Amino acid sequence: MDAYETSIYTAVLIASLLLGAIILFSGWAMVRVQKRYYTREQEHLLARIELLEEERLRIAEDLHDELGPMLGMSRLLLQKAERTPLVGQVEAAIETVANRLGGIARNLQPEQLLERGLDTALRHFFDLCREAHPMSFLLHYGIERELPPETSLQVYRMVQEVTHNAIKHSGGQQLEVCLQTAEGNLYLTCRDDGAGMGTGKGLGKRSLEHRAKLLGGQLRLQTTRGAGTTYQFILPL
Amino acid sequence: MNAGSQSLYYYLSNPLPVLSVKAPFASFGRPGMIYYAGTEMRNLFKERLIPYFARMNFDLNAAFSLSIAIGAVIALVRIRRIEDRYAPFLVLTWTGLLNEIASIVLVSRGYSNAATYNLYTLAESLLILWQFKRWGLFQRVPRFYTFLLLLLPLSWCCESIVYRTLFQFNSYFIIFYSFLIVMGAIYTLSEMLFYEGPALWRQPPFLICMGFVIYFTYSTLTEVFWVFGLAHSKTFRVRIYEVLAYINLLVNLIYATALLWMPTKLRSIPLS
Repeated sequence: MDAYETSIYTAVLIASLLLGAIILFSGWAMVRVQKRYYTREQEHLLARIELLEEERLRIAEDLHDELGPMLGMSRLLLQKAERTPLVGQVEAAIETVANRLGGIARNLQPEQLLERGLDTALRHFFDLCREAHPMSFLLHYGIERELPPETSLQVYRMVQEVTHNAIKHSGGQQLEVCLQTAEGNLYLTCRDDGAGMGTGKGLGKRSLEHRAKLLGGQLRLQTTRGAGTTYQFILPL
Repeated sequence: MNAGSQSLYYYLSNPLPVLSVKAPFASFGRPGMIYYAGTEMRNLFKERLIPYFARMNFDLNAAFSLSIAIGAVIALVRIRRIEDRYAPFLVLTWTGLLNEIASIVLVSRGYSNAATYNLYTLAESLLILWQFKRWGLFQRVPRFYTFLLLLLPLSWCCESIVYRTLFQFNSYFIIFYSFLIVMGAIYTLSEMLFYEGPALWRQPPFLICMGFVIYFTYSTLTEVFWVFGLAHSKTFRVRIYEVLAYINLLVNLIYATALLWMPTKLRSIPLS
């Protein structure tokens, strides 16, 4: 190999190295920017969900502190009024409104969750669902350790959303919810025997994905027309 | 932006194997320089190099190089309306045009354009660095900007003054800064892919960075071949620089489009 050939080979080698460096740098830049982008997106999402929870708390407090006493006062005033069938009907209506208001407030601010933990809160939630809907709700709670409050709240909201979807859209007879831990992950599986759903991304599905991502996890969705829907959340603990 | 000035003039002015002289200068009178009159240079061009430029003549090459004038004129017309963050790029188009004109004048009179070209490479590297700063590339690492701001002139001085002379074309500095610009452009493009809206093709930074990636990648590779092997093969280097001239034209047109689409300044409402 003469000097000219050597210089050509050197040039090819150096050019290849530079080109390789440029390609590697492109890959590195894409990964780095993507990571930063997702971190920022996650921060935005967290802020939005925190804002949402604060807003729910505020609405629940307003309902409890402002509308509750007003309804109570109305009931007292009606008791002083002359007893007629109409007054009786109004009293019953006020009673219904007060109960419904309490239900909305509890839904907005899950006291059971805050006071007694996720297991009790979910059981209480399904009791309320059974009262309101003929669907069968089964809960298998297989978590022994206590979950962080943030995770508990998000899991509670996920189950609420899935239950709402099942009641409203699936047309099924049964919803089964299973919580268990394995290999440092929390597995939340919700399965209904309804009509299944399309592959589109509705607001509810997006919200579920966001909540899963917020906890650093993921959502796997399996749905077939006429064969029900299964949501599986894998959330790191 | 500068391929034309580098290609043909570079080829004319660099040492040829037969003559083995440094670039000809008429006025500087540097010791050891062999003087060539303009006529001799033109004869040299006609007799020795025309066969290699059978497909691309001098005028066409010069015309391709001067295509930067389109962008420079657009920049001049729109200067008052374009956002301030594009100021370095506007200066770059005018500097590029000046360099092309200077190169054509010098070479057609039989002088080398090495000195003006070397000065231009330094200005170009610093202006593009400044442009990247204006686009926020160094927002997280402002010290890196200062570091590069010192490193680029230092490396330019090392090659232009210590290793060679100002009147010989730089190669290592071109490889170095072209490589840096490609890196900066790729990073800016990556950020735009994630953070900007869907109409990327209408975003001037996207177009400009695409131009940077295309031109400076080719420029880096060309220089590497020039330094390590191309210098011995006239045919090969003429072909390489022909391609570079076309790339230069394409990139200059992309810059002109970017200049046309640059957003105008926000009008301020005077407070009473």
